[in-house]
Amino acid sequence: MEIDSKYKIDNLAFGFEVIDALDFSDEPYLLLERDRIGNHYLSYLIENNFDEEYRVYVQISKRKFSAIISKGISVKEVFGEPENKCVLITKLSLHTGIILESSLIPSTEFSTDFIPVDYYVEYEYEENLENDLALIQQSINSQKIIFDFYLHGQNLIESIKPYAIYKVFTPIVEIIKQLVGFDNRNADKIISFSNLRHSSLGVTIELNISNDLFLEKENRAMDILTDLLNADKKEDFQAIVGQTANTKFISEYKSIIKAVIDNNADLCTAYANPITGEIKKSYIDKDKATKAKEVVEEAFDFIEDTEEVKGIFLEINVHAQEPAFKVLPSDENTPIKGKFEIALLEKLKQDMVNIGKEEYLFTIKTLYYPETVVKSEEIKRYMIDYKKQ
Amino acid sequence: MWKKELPKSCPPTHAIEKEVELYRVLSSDTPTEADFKSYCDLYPDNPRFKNLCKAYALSFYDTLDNALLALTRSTTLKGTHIGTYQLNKTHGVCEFKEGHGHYSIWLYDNWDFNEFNPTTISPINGN
Repeated sequence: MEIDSKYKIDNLAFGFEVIDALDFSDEPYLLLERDRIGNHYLSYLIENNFDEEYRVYVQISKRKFSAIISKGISVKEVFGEPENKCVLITKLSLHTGIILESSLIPSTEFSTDFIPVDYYVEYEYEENLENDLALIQQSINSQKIIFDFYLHGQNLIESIKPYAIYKVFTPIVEIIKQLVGFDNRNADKIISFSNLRHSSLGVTIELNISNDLFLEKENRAMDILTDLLNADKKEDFQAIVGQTANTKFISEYKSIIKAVIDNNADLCTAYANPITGEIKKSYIDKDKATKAKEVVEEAFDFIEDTEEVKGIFLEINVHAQEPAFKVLPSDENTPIKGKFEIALLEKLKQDMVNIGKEEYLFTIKTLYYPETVVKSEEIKRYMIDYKKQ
Repeated sequence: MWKKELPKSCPPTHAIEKEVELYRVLSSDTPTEADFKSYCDLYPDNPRFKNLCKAYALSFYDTLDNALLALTRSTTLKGTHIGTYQLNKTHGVCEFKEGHGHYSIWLYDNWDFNEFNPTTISPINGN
C-alpha cells in the first residue's frame, strides 16, 4: 500500500487493544479498539498478506458508536467523515501484533473507495458494551476503581425493598471494607456512591484508598470480590479463601446469596480498572446462589470427647458473657482454655477455688468441628465438673 | 467442553446449537485440518486476538453465493473449492450475521475433523 511519506509518523505508541469484533468473517474486518488512555477507535482491514495487515483507524465517540451499531450510519460514512478530521493507517505484524508503520492522514486526503457503500454493522451487544465503555471512561477520568452493582428482582420493580439495601448492598460494602482493609472512621475519604438507580437497585461505588495511580490493593480486593460473586464450585471458594487472611467476609456473602435465593433476584456487578482499562463482571442468580450455598454451608458432624485432666487453675472469669477458664495440666506445659458449663457456675461461685496452687481433677468435654471449604477447623472445650484432689 | 480454551464470556450467550446446511471455503478438493483453523490458530502469538472471542470461531456461510462473496472480499482467502457441510447440535454453537450470511461457529471438544465430512464439494470457477 502506497502512502505519501510526509504523513508517516514514527514509533506510534497508542497501545491499541482490541475490545471486540464488529465484523469478523474469516478475517477481522471491523474491530472496536482502545488506546492506552481509553479513547475508542474503529479499525477497518484494508488489506493483508498472511504476515502483515494494513488497517485504517478512526477515533469514535460514544454518540457515533451508538449511531453505527443502530445502523444509523454506514461504515463508509464513519471512515469518510471522522470526527477529528483525520485517519490513522497502520501496518501491523499479524504474527506479533506490533505496529510496523503508521501514517496520520487528513480525512480530506483519504479515499474510502475500498469500503462498500451499503456496509452496515450488525452488532448484538450494544447496551452492555456502551455501559462498559462508560464505566471504563468514568474510571479513567476519576482515577478510581468503579464498581457497579445492579440487583434485579420482581419485587424491586416499583420500589426498593429493605433486603436489597440491608441484605445485599450493605454486605457488599462490608466485604469491600474487609478485603481492602478500612473501617467506618475513614470510609468517607475512601469510598463514595453515585449513579443510584431505583428501578430495581443500582449503585456505582467509587474506591481509592491508596491515593496513588496504581490501585494495587483495591484491584486485588475487587478481583477477590468478583471471583466470590462468580463462585459456585468448591474449587472456586478454595481459591478465594487461599488469597485472604481471614474468612470473616463469608458471613456477609452468605447474607447476599440468601437474599438472592429468597427473593429470586439476579445480582450483576462490573468493576472497571482505570490502569488496564479492563472490565471484570460477575453474575449470580437463584440457581447459582443455591449451588454456592451448598458449598459455603457445608458442615460435618462434630466429634465429642470427654476426658479427665489433672492440673491447676490458671485463670477463671465468671463475669464474662460466656464464663471462661484456663487450666494447666500436670503433665503438660500448654494450658487448656475453654468455657464453663452453665450448670457448673453456681458451684464455682460457692467454692473457694484456689488458683495456681492446689491440684484439681477437671472433667472437660471437647467438641471438634472439622474444617470446611470456607472455615478452618475449630475446637471448643467446656468444663463440666472439677474435684479437689 | 470447547475445542480450545476460550476467553471469558465466550461464546456469547446468544450463540446457539443449530442444525443447518453451511458452506466453507476450502483450499483444495480434499479438505484437510488446515482448512479448519481459526484465526487464533493461524496467529497464536498475536496478543491482539488473545481475548477476542470471534478469533476462536470458524467461519461458514449460509449460501454458496455468500461463500463466493467472502472470497472476493478477502485479500488472503485463497479457496479453490467450497464444501457443503451439515452442522448439527453436537458440533458446537453458532452466531449468525445476516449481512454477509456469515456464521461464527465455536466447536465443542468432541468435534472431530475426521467425522466432519462435506456432503458436496464444488469447484470455484477455473478450478
